[in-house]
Amino acid sequence: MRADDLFKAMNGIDEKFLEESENTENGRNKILKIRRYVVVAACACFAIAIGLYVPNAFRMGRSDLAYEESFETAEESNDAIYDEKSEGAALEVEGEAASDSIYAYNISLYINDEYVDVSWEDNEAVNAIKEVLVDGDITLEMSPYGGFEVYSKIDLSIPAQDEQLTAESGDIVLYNGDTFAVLYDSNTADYTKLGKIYNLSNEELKELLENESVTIALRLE
Amino acid sequence: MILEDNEIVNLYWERNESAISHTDTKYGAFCHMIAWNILHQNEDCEECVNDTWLKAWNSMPPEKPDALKYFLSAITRNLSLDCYRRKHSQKRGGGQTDVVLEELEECLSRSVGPESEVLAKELTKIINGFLGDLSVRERKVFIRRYYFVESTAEIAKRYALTETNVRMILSRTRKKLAVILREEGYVL
Repeated sequence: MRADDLFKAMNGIDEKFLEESENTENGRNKILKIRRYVVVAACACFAIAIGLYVPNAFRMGRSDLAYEESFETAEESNDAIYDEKSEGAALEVEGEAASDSIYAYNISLYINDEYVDVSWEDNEAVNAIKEVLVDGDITLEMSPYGGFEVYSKIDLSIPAQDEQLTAESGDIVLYNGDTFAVLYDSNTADYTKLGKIYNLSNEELKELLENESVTIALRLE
Repeated sequence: MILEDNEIVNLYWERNESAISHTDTKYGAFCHMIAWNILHQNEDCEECVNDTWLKAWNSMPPEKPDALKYFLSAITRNLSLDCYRRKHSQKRGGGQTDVVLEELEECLSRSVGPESEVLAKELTKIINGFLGDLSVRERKVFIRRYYFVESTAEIAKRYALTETNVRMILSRTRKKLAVILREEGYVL
């Protein structure tokens, strides 16, 4: 008997074992996911608490001063209150504009320095990538996998919302919460969808991605 | 529209040629991935996948598989391995497939026994018994390596393991398989 015979004998492996192997979730992954969600939720609560407390404390401090000044003429005290309110309102508007501004920007994607049009999803994962891009571009060296995608691990905390998807050519996905992939043929797996490349035919996309060396750059523009 | 497996199999039995296009839509990428892992050449992969459809057409009827996906993947694996052997008969390619087959050779050291269909079925039964006794993680890693011919890097990525971990699991499971094959008389 040769290795080829042993290899071919595996054609009869029980279907339930083969299906089981296609499930990427394992106990450790589940625990890491739960831990990640707990940390993200805790940070979100903390950020909301800070967001509510600081402006309130600021306004309370200024209104104490306004109260002390109320012994002056009524006109002067009214002016002081008016100034404080309009300044507080201006600070609020500035704060809102600052927090909204990065989400108004778009992520530009370049494959081997060639810009490609992408329609990005409006979800937490894409917003998290935008927040990271504020500090600088992300450059990924991609590796081929399975004859249908190029992928790269990303060392970032991106909130994943995986669901079983049949991803098509041009889809940009997050996989296992830490792997960025671009598909040039279809595949079904647990993915978080990030976006879709358009204005490129399947052949053009395959030509770009079926190269020995593929670099993908993400920029906020 | 993606049909259920039994609907596609019925099309084969009715000798309806749309069975092939439905099969390609549903399992084309999957069979291509299997062929790619063995051959790493797009032209050869396409040839093997097309030959898979032809073999499927010629075998249904009388075959009526419950799980069409793995019925097709078995055909693709066989065709891809035969194609690989034809192309690499003169030299060792040094690619993933060579390494996988060398690893399987370790389980056989000095094998005996005629290569008959009866013994092949017995061997499959032994392999399933062996897999059933493994832990879930060991079984998944073993199958991704020796059924799907994935690299240790790809398996590590799939299951969030390190490559070292994957190699250790494979080494352990091969040794267990070698012991079982010896006990069953396939190996001296």
